[in-house]
Amino acid sequence: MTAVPHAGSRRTVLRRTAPAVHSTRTGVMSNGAFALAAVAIMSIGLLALLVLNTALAKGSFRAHELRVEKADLAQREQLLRTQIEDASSPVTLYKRATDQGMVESVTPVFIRLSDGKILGVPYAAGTPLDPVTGQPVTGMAPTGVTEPGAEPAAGTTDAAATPQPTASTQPESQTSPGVATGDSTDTEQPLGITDH
Amino acid sequence: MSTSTRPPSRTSRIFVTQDGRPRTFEVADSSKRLRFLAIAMAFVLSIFVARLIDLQLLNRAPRAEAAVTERTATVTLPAERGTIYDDKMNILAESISAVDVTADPRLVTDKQAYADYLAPILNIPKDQIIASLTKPPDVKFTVIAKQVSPETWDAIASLDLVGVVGKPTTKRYYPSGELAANVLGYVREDGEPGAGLEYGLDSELRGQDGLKVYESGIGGRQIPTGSEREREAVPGTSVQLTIDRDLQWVAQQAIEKRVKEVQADSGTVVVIDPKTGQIKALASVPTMNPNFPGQADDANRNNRALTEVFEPGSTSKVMTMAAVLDQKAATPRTVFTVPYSFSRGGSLFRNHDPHPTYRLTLAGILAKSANTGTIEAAEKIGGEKLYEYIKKFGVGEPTGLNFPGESDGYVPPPSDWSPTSFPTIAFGQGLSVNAIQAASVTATIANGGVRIPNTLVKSYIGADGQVQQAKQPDGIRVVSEDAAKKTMRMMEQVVGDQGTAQMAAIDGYRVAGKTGTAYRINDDCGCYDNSVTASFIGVAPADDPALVVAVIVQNPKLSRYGGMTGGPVFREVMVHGLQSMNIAPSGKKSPQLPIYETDLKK
Repeated sequence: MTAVPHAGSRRTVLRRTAPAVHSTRTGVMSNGAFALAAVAIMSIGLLALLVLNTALAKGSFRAHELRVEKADLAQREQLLRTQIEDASSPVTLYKRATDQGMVESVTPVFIRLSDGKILGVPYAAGTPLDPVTGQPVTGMAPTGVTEPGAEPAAGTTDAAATPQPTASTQPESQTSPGVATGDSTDTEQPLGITDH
Repeated sequence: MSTSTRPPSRTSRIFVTQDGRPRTFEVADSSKRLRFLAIAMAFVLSIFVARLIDLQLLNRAPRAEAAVTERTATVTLPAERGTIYDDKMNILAESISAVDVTADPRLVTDKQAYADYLAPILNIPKDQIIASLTKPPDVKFTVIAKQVSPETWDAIASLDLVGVVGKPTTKRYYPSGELAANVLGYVREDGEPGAGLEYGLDSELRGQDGLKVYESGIGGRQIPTGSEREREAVPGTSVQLTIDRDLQWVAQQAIEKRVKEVQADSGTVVVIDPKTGQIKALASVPTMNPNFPGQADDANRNNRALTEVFEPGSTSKVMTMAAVLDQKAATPRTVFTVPYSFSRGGSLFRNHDPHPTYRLTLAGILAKSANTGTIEAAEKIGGEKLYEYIKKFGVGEPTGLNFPGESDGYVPPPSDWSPTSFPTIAFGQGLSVNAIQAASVTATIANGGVRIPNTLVKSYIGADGQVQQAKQPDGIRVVSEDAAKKTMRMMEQVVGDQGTAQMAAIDGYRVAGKTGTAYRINDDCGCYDNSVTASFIGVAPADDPALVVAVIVQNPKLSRYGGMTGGPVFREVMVHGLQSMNIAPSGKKSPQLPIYETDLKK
């Protein structure tokens, strides 16, 4: 009985060892698969990195192109903007308006829409200004330069003929040119007494 | 079978097969080889390790640095300078991109040919181009033209000239050229401000340059995975001024024309909104073109309205009159005996033209601009009081504009006065003001006696579009509302047909103002040389003041009087101002004040 169990135990051992050998064989095969898998993963990884880098580089090229395009557009925008600014500048507008025959108005005049009343004193376009009174005069040839040294003497001009709704001529104006018709300053006084 | 007798080697014992066949020979041999290879490998590896230690531990920092330096590019990201706008957000000054045309002279073989190509595009003489290309042999860099437009550079780039390189830069551009040039100032080619608000507001306008550090590959392109550091540029703050571009232009045109007509040295126009103290226009001639500041005289780059002071003369009588009225020392109807001349402090004071002694009202004294009468009126309040008022009107005080090179003017304190100082100051000599201060006196009267310090900046616009309104200065009461009102009525007589400034009248409107003809100090001799400062400072409409216009003309040779000289300019600027501000005439007439004692009895 003892031998049987012995033989049986041997068989059992063998039986037990057999799967162990088998499992060793399976391990070897797994190693190969593992190597393959590792190589595959590494290849995929490297490939992905390559693709990624290429994509990034492509993005960089595209960004560069777009930057160039942006600079071109900004330059164009700047050119157009400065052209608009030049055209809308009062310097250009005045020139273009006068070239078309427009003139500056002599007095501000408004039409009140509620009752159609004209506010202000209108004059025909291009009415010249009197060189002495500085006021618009109708029926006078345009005068350029003011008479040198002329004094704004009260009442000595054709003020009566000039439309002057804000003032009325006073008799004194004819008889009192003695006091400082221009500006009064003393010729000698300031000399030597100024503190600087 | 001799091999079988050999004892199994200890290393191969484990490899002995069940049949006892020894295989120790090959195994023993390969073991030796392995040992040899292992040692060799260890040796090689140790060298690697040593090198690795050398590279990674011992000399790591300098090497890493050298490598990074080699592929690192550093670029300054220039901050965009803020834009300057007028009060309606029209651009007065802006920064635009430009290109510096540079060259490596060593690569230029035929200078004449280069000059032939470049001269017509750059619009500069050929000689100048040849000169800039002619350099000592070791010079690698020369500038042919600075700050050309990108379009000009495109034309040059298309020529493919070897050695010619465009360097991107920015340029300050003033679309309206000379318009408001003396207010704006200019920016030099190196980007530094030269004068005016460009200089005064530089800390706001400038912004902060940024920096970009990155790893670059071929052609300077950025390596996408490389390290990158960037500090973004902070663009400058833009500024909205109180200046009205159109009114500024009208003022500039008018004064330029007038200065030529009367053969004056220079002229200034100041336009102020009396209710806010905002400066609507500030023109000064001769001027400059800020796009080409190098072509202008030094004197014309400054703002005369603030940097030059002058003795105000008769326009200063407005201060004297307002002070007398505020002290209730007289009314506009108070009658004074006004002789042609009298003696004060041992000196003779005279009016302009000889006349018999008159009995004039206070209003009449101002309308006729009588010096003797003004002195008599001032004597009713005394020198100390007069000085106090003049200071309160802002004379000798900073305007608050903080304008570069601003001059405060001067009024001597009573402690420094000579016997003739008081009477002299009463009619506007012996004290000095700048044009803004002179205009501000009338603006104060027009604003009911409250002086609002003048401003040039309306708002600041951050790069993010955030608008910050400039601080509105508090008003300072100088004279009572009643005194201001009475002074205005008196100033209306000046523009009336009894006054000295009929030229300033505008049909339909009530206009008030004061003329001035002051003796001026000749800068060459530091003495009075009979040359004058002619001025007219006025306000309209007198019944609801909207604008104050001051016209100051220095040394007019053909027309000395303020009313004659400044009146037409005042009128032109005011007509445009009233028109553009849509201010219709009230239709009321200026109330007539008695000028002579005889008028009182009527």
